[in-house]
Formats: sequence, structure tokens, C-alpha cells
Amino acid sequence: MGKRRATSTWRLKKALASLIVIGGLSFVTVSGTYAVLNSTESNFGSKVATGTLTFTNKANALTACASYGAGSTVNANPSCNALVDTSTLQYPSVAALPTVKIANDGSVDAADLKMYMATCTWGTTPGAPVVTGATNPCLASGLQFYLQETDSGGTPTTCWFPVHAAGACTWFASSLFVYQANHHTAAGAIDLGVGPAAGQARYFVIGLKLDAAAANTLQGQSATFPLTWHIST
Amino acid sequence: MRIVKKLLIGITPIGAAAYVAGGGTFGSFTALHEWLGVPEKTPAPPVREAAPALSSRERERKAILKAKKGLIVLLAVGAAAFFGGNSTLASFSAETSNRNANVASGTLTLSDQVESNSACLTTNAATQNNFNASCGAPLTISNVAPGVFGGSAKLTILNNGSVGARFLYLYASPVNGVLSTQLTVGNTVTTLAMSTGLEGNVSVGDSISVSFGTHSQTFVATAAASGGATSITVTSQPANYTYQAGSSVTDTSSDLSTGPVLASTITSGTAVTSIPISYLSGNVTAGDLITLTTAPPGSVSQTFVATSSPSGTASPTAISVTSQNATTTFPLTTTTVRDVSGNATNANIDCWDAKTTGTAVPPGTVTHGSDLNFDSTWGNPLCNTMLFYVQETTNGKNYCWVGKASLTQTGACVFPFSTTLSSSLSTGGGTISSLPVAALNGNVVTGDTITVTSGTNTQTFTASGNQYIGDTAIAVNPLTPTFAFPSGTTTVTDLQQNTSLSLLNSDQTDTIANFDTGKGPLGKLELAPVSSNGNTLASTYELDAGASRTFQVGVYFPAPNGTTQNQLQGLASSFGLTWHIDQ
Repeated sequence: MGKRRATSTWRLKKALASLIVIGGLSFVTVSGTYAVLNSTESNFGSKVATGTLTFTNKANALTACASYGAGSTVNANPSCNALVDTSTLQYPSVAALPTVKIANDGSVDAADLKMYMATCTWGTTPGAPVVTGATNPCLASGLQFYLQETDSGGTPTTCWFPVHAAGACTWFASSLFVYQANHHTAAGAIDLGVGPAAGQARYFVIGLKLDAAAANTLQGQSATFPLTWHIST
Repeated sequence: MRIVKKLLIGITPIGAAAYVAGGGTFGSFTALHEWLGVPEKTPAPPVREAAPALSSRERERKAILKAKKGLIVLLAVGAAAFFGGNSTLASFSAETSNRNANVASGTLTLSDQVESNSACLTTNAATQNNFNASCGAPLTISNVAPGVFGGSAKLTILNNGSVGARFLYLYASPVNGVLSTQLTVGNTVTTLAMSTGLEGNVSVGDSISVSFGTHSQTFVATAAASGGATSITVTSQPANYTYQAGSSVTDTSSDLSTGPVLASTITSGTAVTSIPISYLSGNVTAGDLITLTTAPPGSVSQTFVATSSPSGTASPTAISVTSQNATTTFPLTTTTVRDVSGNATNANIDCWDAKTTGTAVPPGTVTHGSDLNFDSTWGNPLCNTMLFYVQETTNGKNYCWVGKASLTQTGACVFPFSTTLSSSLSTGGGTISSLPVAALNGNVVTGDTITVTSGTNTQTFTASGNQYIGDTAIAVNPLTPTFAFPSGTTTVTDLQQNTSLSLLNSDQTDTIANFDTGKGPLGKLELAPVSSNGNTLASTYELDAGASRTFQVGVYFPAPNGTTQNQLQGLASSFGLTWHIDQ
């Protein structure tokens, strides 16, 4: 009797469980067929493009040298042409006036142009006799220097050094020494203002001269110095 | 047993209803009785003397029997209903039919409008699945420079369906494209050809899903593919459906990583001959330059030359390099490893970089990235630099959803503006305390220097209050104009001496690349309704039927102090945004 009861009960439980499953499936199935609506849109292909800021440096009538050209590293070219070389000897009162054209050939306007002279190295003019007690043309009482901006035709517009003023520059004693001493790092570069704009150029004349009263100890001496031009946005 | 009875009573209606609905499988009531263990009915026994009192056990057994009988009755009713409906019993009958019950579903669709351009709708998506992946780009900006206003645009998202959306999401699009060549059912597929080019980068091993309507199939990429690519190579498998040209192609493995990292620490001073890497997106070629970079701030980089050509793999691997002593300690997991000569380490994110190209104007100028030799695209450097923001402006209530949130202007993202005067200024009218401007496309914070420029004439004012995107006047400290700045052509910006900008210029977090990995499909932003500036409030519908929400999206190219960005000249970053609503 007990065994029959246990079997009957077990069967009942199984039937119960089956009904629960059927009922449960129906319940789940019915709610699972509710459609969850959704909608999606994508804004495809937004594009943000940067411009370019590059320039060329044309010394005198020589071929322009690009900031991104041969010998450059990440838009910095240390190998552009020298403005003056020892093939043209300098004499007191006779000025060397090399020109520099800074042309922005990128797409972005330059917000700022600067220039500095990292070093001035004293040397001897090739082939010159040894001068006893020679003096350094990089130092005081040595070479004179000015930085003149002009228009494309060469007419002076702004003197940037030694005295910042409109018009033409004038000569000052020891000016090369003063310039190099004050503007020999990027941080200390002379600020030449805004520009050039994209596609535009600025023109400069570098004035170099031995004073009329230059000492004889400056004979046969040379000064070697780089001029670094820097533009930025 | 009481519990059993209660359970029985409780579920019987459900079970019985299900049984009736589903149809029974019992062949006869007899079978049913036997199955339930109910004995066959027997003739009524002869009257006997009153039975002795039952024990509790006997009483319980009787109760169960009663319950069973109840169950059987219900099942019988269900069975009768089941069999009765299909039988041909001869009896009186009558019936009625309720004709033409009509159940119509609602619609949940999106409209996406950039500025005042034509709206892009999900209802006419080429993939016929209420997903339009080709809505217009809100931003098409060129010639951007560091520290200069980049650009922004207004987006309007509208629920043009009949059903309210409980949820509105924004997320970075996964790497995606559009199939250009049909896949025919049964034919073997080894390449997925795409029109318009891939948006984003694919890595070896990525899952690539092709979808059309309710059909989809997943393939596995067998080679890296860079942004703009017109095909993805996949592991061979037959197409399970004919996916017509125009089907969507989605990299479902994308937007999860900013690129491979160093798998083991390299100690300063040690000779490095092999670089252990967490994975390779694509193949390295011997000779490639491999750059290790420590995490900011104060990142340090060192470049090695690959001497091996390991293939792309999703597993850790190593790149052999020409021996060099490590110049610093490069910690594992935080040091990035980048192949700057190829796509071997491109992160499989939606944003991708390419060099700008085109005809130099004027001739001889260098106005495109393709003219330069120092602006590599590998590693998507512009995507990893360009800052991105999304500010909601619905009904004048602002919320910075993406980007650097302002700490001083509730609800605003830190973002500069550039606009024009809407009315001219007069020099003879005394001081002014407000600048009339065309609707602002950025935010102004009290104290910002506002620069007004017309040709060579410039004057600065100081903002005397906060202004939000869309405002048409800037409150300033009283000042007399020094020039009759004309309307329309006079620019008005806050790009100089703006304290907010210093936050942006040093920001390395809110980049497009980080938006892709942080807010991709798996990290989507839920856009609860904005109740006031900087505050949201839960609501039944985040985008009700017929309702719209407006957003301003923009980018800014940071100019970190003392750092040049020359390697980013002439590059273009392309990326997407996805909006999604759920019922």
C-alpha cells in the first residue's frame, strides 16, 4: 500500500511539474514575443584636417631652402645657405648687406616670426697672415650688425635691431656682440611680429660692417654665426 | 501534501490554460487516469455500516484524491474544448465571429539633422533594418592649427515615430563600412569589398559582421585593414544569405583598445633586442621603426628598428629589434608600442588618420600632408590628440555629455568660440557693456578675454558673465569701442588669454580616440533628459514620439605649452557618431 501511494504521489508530482513547465513556457513565450523596437543612426565620416606650416629661406639670389627640405628633421632645416662667406672680404666702412626672403609656403598663417643667433665663432680669414694681438670680431668693438625689414622691392619698412623703429636702421658700435648676447636661444629670440601669412613672404636685409675706426687687430679675423628663423602658429 | 495541494490549485489554471491553448496529447481519458495514478472507476459498493473514523493519513490520502479528481475535471474540460472544436458531434450549435480584429504596431524611427541640412532618416536606410549608417558628417573642417578654433556643428535628433523611446543613447561608431560587392548565398567568401572605404581600422582576428534586414553573418579578419581600405580579408566561409551591395559591414571587435602595449617591463640601461607586445594588429616588416612611449605626463619615447617580421595576431608576441640600451624604464601595460612605419600596431578604433592630399594652391606651396615627410599616420596620432566634445543645448538647457566639463560654468563643456559681430560698434556712443554677436558656437566664462578684430583693428574686452552656446550677446566690462567695427565681417573670439584654454591645451584625455574606446557600443552613453543646466532627471521617455533634442559637437586642436605639434601637420582624422533609441 505504502509503495503504491508513493508511486501515485510521485506521478502526481511529475504531472504537476509538467504542467508548470508547459504553463511556464507559455508564460515566457508569450512575453518573449513582445517586439522591442529600436532605431539607430550614425553620422558617418566627420573629418577634421590640420593645415601645414612650412617656409622657405632664400638667401640673396641662391636657391630657396625649405624647412622640410634635405637635411631637415621634422620641419627644422639647419643647413640653409650662408648669407655671407669668406670669399668676399670685408673692409672698414664697407657694408655687406645680404638679403633673406622668408616665404610661408604652408596653408596656415604664421602668427609669429622670430630670429636668433645661437653662436658667434671667432676664426681666421683663410690665407690671411697671423696678426699679433688679434681681436675677436664677435665681441665688443668688433663687427656691427643690424636687422632691417623691407618690402619686396627692398625699400626699408621696419628696423628691428639695434633700434626697433619704422624706416631704415642705423649702425651702432658693438651691435653684433649685443645682438648675440641677447638673442642666442629660441626662448630669447627677437620677436618679429605676426606673419608671414600663408602664401606670403617677408623680406629682410642683414647689415654687417666693420666700423671705419676698426682696430688693425681685427685684420684677417673672421666671425662665423648662424641665423635661425622660426615661425609658429 | 498540503503544499502539494496548494501548488496544484495554484498552477492548475495556468497549466490548464496552457494545456487548452497548446492542445492535449492524451489519447483518451482512460490513459489520462492511468497516468495520474487514479484508479479506474468501479461500480458503487453496497451500503455498508458506517466506516470507522479515518486516521490522519487516510484523511490526507482522500484529500489528494479529491484534488486529483479536480485536476482531471479541468483537463477533461480542456480536452473537451479541444476535441469539441474539431468534432462533428450532431447537436444544436450556434456561433458568432468577431471579424477583422486589427492589431497595428507603432513605429520607432529616428531623424538626424546637421545644422539646417536635410534630415537623415532611419526609415529609408539602405540596409532595410531601421539603421541608417550613412547620415551626414556634422564636422568637415580643414586647415586647423593648434590653439586655433577648430569648429563645431549643431545636431538635432528627432523621434519621428509614433512610439516614445524610453532610452536614447550616444556612442562612438564601431569600425564600419558598406558592402560594394554582393555576397551570394552558398558561395565562399574570402574578401569583403567595400564602397567609400572603411571608417576605422581592422585588426587581425576581429569579428566582422555583414548585415541586411534581419540577416547577418560574422566573418573573421585574417589581415589588418587601415581606415580608407576598400576590402577586408576574412577567413573563408560560405555566405548564409545573399547580402546585396549596400549591406552594412561592422567590426564588432572594435573600439575596445587604444592599441597594443608592452607585455613585459624593459628596465633602463638594459640591452633591448626584443620588444614583447600584447598583440599585433597587422604585420611588421623588418626595418620598420618601433617606438616605445611611456604614459603621460612627461612621456619619454625611444625608437628601435625591427629586424623581424612577425605577423598580426591577437595573442602576445614579440618584435626582434636591433640592439639598443633602453634610455629609461618602460613599464608593462602603460607603455605604448607603435610601428610608425606601418599599420602593425594601429588600434582598431573608428577614428583613423590619413595625410591630406590635393593640388598645391598656389603652385609650389606645401599645403598638404602628402607633401611632407615628417607626418606619419601610423598609430593615428591626430585621433589621439584632437579633443572632442558634445554639449546638449535642448531648449536652452546645457549638459556636457562628452569632453572636458567646465568647473565654473554649470552644464558647459570647456570650449572656445569664434563668431562675428551681429551689429556694428560705434566709437561715438560711449561705453558698451554687451557685444552683439551671431549665435555662439562655444561657451564664454566670466573673465575671458574677448578679442574683436576687423582687418588690422583689434580691441579686447573682458567677459563679465558666463555665456552658453547659442547666446547672441556677450556681457563685457564697460568699454568704449576704439573703432567702428562693422557687423558681419568683424570676428569675435576668446582664443587669447583664456584661462579655460589652458585646461584644453594640456588635456590628453578628451580625445577622439578615447571617446572611441570609452564610449563605444559597449560603453554607450544613456542620455537622460536634461532638466536644467548640468542636471538630468529620469523620465519615462528619454525621447518621446515627436520630440527632439539638440546637441553641439566640436573639436579643438590643443597647443600644449612648450611642445610642437609638427608631426600632426597635414593629417585628417575621420570618425563617426551613433545615436540609438530603444522602445
